[in-house]
Amino acid sequence: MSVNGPLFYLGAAAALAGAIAVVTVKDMRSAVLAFAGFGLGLGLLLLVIGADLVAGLAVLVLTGVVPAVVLTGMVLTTDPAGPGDDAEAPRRPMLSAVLKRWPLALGVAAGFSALLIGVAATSRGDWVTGPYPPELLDHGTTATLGRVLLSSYTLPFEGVGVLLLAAAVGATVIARRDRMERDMDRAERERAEREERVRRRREDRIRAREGRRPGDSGMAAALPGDEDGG
Amino acid sequence: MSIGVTHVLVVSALIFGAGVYGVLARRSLFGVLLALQLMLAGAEVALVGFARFGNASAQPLDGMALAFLAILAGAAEGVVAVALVLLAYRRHRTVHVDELDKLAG
Repeated sequence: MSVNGPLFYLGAAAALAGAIAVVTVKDMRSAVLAFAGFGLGLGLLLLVIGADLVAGLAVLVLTGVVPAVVLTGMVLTTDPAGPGDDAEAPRRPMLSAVLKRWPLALGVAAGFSALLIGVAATSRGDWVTGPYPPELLDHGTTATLGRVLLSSYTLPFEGVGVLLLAAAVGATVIARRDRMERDMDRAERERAEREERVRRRREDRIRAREGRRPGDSGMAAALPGDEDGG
Repeated sequence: MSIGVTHVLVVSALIFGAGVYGVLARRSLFGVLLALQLMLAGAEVALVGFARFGNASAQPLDGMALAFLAILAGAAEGVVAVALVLLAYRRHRTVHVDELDKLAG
């Protein structure tokens, strides 16, 4: 049984369209959505090739985990002092514009793709040493891949488990506000309060001086909160 | 013409190229992160393609096993990268790579 051609091209087109949208769309939220679409297209592509377990995992990770994590990060890095999502916001960190030097990036990317395609096209077919086992096409790869992962790839499999745990713990440790940062925040706050106090005292002094000048001493100085609104 | 390893490799190269473009052209760190995931996905497609159309002698699924593990490693990388972006944002109040230039000489 060979690979279903139209479905392969459909999956490849969906994946490529999604990939191009991810890197060209200006709004980052749309880019994340495009990434989820890319994951679906890639899943279809891998499923058509015959890698059902890898396709399922790719869909789970590329349309579930990565967009969710990136969206969470984008929400946490939206500037709270800035205007909301609905307002017209010229300087919103979410709106990521493509750099001016995109032609250089396009050239490098096209050159890289051309190099890889050239290598694939000009290399000999020595790696094909036998037909694909037909039972893998009939019954799927899940059982065999599971056996392979838990027999010859036990150590890498366990290693990936440890890696995921370390990543989860490490992410919380990295993203946590540490002591130095708290101290810096407190120092910044105290400095702002001190400057505010100095500014207010200076304004009071100026106001008192201006109030005394007309001769009516004391009246203006007694009403310092008139103009600054308390 | 039946689908062969070359077709899969061409798709893989194009996805990888899109990722390279994104890494170079995106300004937001999140965009760079998504583009990195694209490059990783391109490599995974190539691995699966070789496993399906390539050497089918002793262990036909070596490439797929490697792709499986690479997808999981990519997920871990994404989680840590987002945590790093959050840290950079807290310290510098920006997620744009142009403005994070403290290490630039």
